Amino acid sequence: MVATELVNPFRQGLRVDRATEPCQLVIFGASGDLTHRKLLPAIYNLAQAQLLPAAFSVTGFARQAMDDAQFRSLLATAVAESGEVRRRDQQTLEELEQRVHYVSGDFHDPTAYTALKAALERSDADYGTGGNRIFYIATPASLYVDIVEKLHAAGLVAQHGASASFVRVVVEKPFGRNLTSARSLDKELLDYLCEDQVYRIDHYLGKETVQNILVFRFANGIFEPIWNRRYVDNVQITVAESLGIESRGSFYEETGVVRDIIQNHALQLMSLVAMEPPTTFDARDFRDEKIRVIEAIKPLGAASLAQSAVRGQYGPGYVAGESVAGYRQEDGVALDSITPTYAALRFFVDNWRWADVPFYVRSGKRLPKRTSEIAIHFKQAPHLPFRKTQVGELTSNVLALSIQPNEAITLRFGAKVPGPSMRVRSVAMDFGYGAAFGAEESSAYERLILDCMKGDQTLFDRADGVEAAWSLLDPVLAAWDADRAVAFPNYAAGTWGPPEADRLLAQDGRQWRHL
Amino acid sequence: MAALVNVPPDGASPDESVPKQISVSDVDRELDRAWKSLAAIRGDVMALRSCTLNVVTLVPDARQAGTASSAIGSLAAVHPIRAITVVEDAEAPEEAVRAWVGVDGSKGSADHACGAEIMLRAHPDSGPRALSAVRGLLAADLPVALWWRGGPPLRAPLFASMAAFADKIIVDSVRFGDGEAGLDTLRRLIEYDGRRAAIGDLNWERIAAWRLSIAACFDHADVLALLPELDRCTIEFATNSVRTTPASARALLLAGWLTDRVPRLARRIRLNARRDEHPLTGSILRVVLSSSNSGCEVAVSWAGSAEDMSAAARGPAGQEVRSWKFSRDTQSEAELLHRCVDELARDPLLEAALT
Ligand SMILES: NC(=O)c1ccc[n+]([C@@H]2O[C@H](COP(=O)([O-])OP(=O)(O)OC[C@H]3O[C@@H](n4cnc5c(N)ncnc54)[C@H](OP(=O)(O)O)[C@@H]3O)[C@@H](O)[C@H]2O)c1
Repeated sequence: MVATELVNPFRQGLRVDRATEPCQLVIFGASGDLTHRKLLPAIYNLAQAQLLPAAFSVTGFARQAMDDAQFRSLLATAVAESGEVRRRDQQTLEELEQRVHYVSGDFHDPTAYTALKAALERSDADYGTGGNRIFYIATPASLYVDIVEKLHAAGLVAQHGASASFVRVVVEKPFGRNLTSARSLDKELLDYLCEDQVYRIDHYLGKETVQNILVFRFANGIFEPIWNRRYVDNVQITVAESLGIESRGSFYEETGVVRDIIQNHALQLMSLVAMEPPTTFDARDFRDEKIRVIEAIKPLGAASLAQSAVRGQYGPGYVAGESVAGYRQEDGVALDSITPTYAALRFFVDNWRWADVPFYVRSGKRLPKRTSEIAIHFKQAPHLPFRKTQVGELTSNVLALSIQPNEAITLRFGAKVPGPSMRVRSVAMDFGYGAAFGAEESSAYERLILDCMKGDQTLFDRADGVEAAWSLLDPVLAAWDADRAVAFPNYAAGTWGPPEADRLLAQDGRQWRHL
Repeated sequence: MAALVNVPPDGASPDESVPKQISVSDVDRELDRAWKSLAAIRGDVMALRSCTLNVVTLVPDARQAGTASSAIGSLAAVHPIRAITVVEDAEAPEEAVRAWVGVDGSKGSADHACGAEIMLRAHPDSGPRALSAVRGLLAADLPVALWWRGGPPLRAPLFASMAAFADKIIVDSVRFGDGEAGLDTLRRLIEYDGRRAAIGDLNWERIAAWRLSIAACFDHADVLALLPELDRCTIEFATNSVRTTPASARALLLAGWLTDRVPRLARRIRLNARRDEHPLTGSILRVVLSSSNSGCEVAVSWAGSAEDMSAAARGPAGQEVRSWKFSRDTQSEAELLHRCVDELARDPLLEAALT
């Protein structure tokens, strides 16, 4: 009887298609914020939806001393507190708890890995996980290499193909601080792993609405013909947050908005909007096309920087009726900090489809509201035949793809105001996903963890993609770091950024969409 | 043609609605007015409502109009549908199809689905008239699911006329009579009209949890390894009859599915009726796949009263290999209907289970 050659005939054709390959999920940083808020609720949701492999276990690993029971109660609390858990069911929780273990140790300490290895081997024997492992590294980025190196030394990572079982390593953004550090991180990781074992997470790609950009573009014949320089005047991408930096002052001082948002989330959105249709949606074709867009963006050299990039930092102000401190007054932030909390950039994609179409990208903290969207501004109608029309009221068509907090597609078009005169007014037609599909959507982390279990890298970043994004932004970061004579703060919390950001568009005769 | 529209007067809450007579051709206008007044009450701006599907419900027994409508209401809370319910009523005048329109925003939130239902009351012999009303009310260019909420439909003229434009026909085969007779009707329905429409069966959805649980047992490699040994099966189902009971349609459907998945089980599946306190006659209580040569066995059971199912797998010497508990979804009519409209394509597993 050779069990591995058998296929479960009862699974075939069922609507619930679970990740069938047995595996262990090992979380580095299991006592941390990401694990508590995102990973544990996502794992629970997958269990609830019966999407986990039948042979499965979770091992948490961090410094904090905890036993299995304490980590299990951490799981229960995470599930109870999470707004992302769709259905709470005691039985699912209890069954999952039985498969959850914890190992405590310092990531720098080789003996901790010996203990981890013993625990994982025990789990393999108990749950039949067959040596398949996903190491989810939810720790500060500075630890990634050390962890992988120590895993290797402990014999816990074999390169793909060297063993019948699989080892996959998930790493969280930020992936490097600049091109040099990203390259050296890649190089060091790839000393021990193959590229197809590395899963770089940008959770934006796991969002249903972000994936829907692709469906919207490539499954609807009517949009693609107008998705080019002939019809599109400009594209505006906004990732706005109303929150400040919370208690992460020292982290943010090292990071800033470009590394935190623009280098990853914002450029991901831009590449999905601007990419050519891939031949297939398999990991290679899809990522090739995405990366081609980033590589086609005209570099922002020192000469063009002043016309193409604006930075900002918030001062005190009011957000949602509350008075809030300025960035330099936040804990862990230097009083003379020049870390940008806002950036607006103008990019051009040098290819046939997009030549001369500006892509304006902005992101900031302490803006008036939390919202992420992509707005495609179409060109004005070439000729307006309505004499005596209040032409001033006519605005161009805008197609807005909202990503958060409300997932929607909005089309702005001109319509006649009812009445005897020919007056035209812009109206917005809103299509909310919630209104079309009542089903609750799964969280980004659920989708990405599941894809990793299935070995599907499509929605994960590839090394050359990360590097292309850093190549583009390195000159901006270098110029801004070098020029400390910037008059910060230059926007009040609760406003839409510094006035220079408006001038960035005004110089082209355009303005930001009012959100 | 007269129509009664059940919309609140401007400014009133939906509960204070006053039926008003209009013609069927005014239904859409009245619906629009109802949406607007609901939006005013809730303070939303409803510039656009989305719709993904037409659901036409045929209720051959006027006394069941209320229960059908409540299932549709639950469906509309999560699927934005154009719901048109046609109630056959021998008391209704033959020359008129009467309509009520209701908008229910109570179940959805501002950014979620909320439903409108158009109810037509028609005399059984008013076929072409009712058909024309339904045709005129369908949301354009969207698929149509036809839910027949009655006994065998093949001789019902209203069904025949409406099935012609349905993309999916949904029935509850339990209403065709339990056992083989019911499944026979289901088979004929699948062949009906040159297979234009896909078929959904609420009774088939009732055993979805069994299919899932059995599949989940064999997701484990050590249980899957037992499969070649398993060559017979017993399905126990509930009955409250003291006399001999015909096989339950659910048991037959499950047996059909098992045989399709593992052909060597053909003619090796026994169906046993078990008298049970449980009120749902025909429900499956236990499925045991076993070996005629060894102690290998995989058994899935449902206690009947509790919601959960349990399962255990035993190896050649009868030793326990694994045991599980599975949660069981609710089996309300609305929930089953929901599953049927979730997928509009043909269901090859159902079709195979019937052959
Ligand atoms: N939090 C988020 O929402 C979020 C979102 C996107 C990306 N990320 C990324 O995800 C990663 C984790 O973020 P986080 O917010 O969860 O961080 P965090 O709350 O600071 O958690 C860090 C975890 O790493 C463990 N750790 C740190 N140094 C260790 C050592 N030497 N030995 C053993 N354990 C050690 C900590 O364990 P002890 O506490 O036991 O020391 C803790 O479990 C970061 O790379 C972050 O940039 C986070």
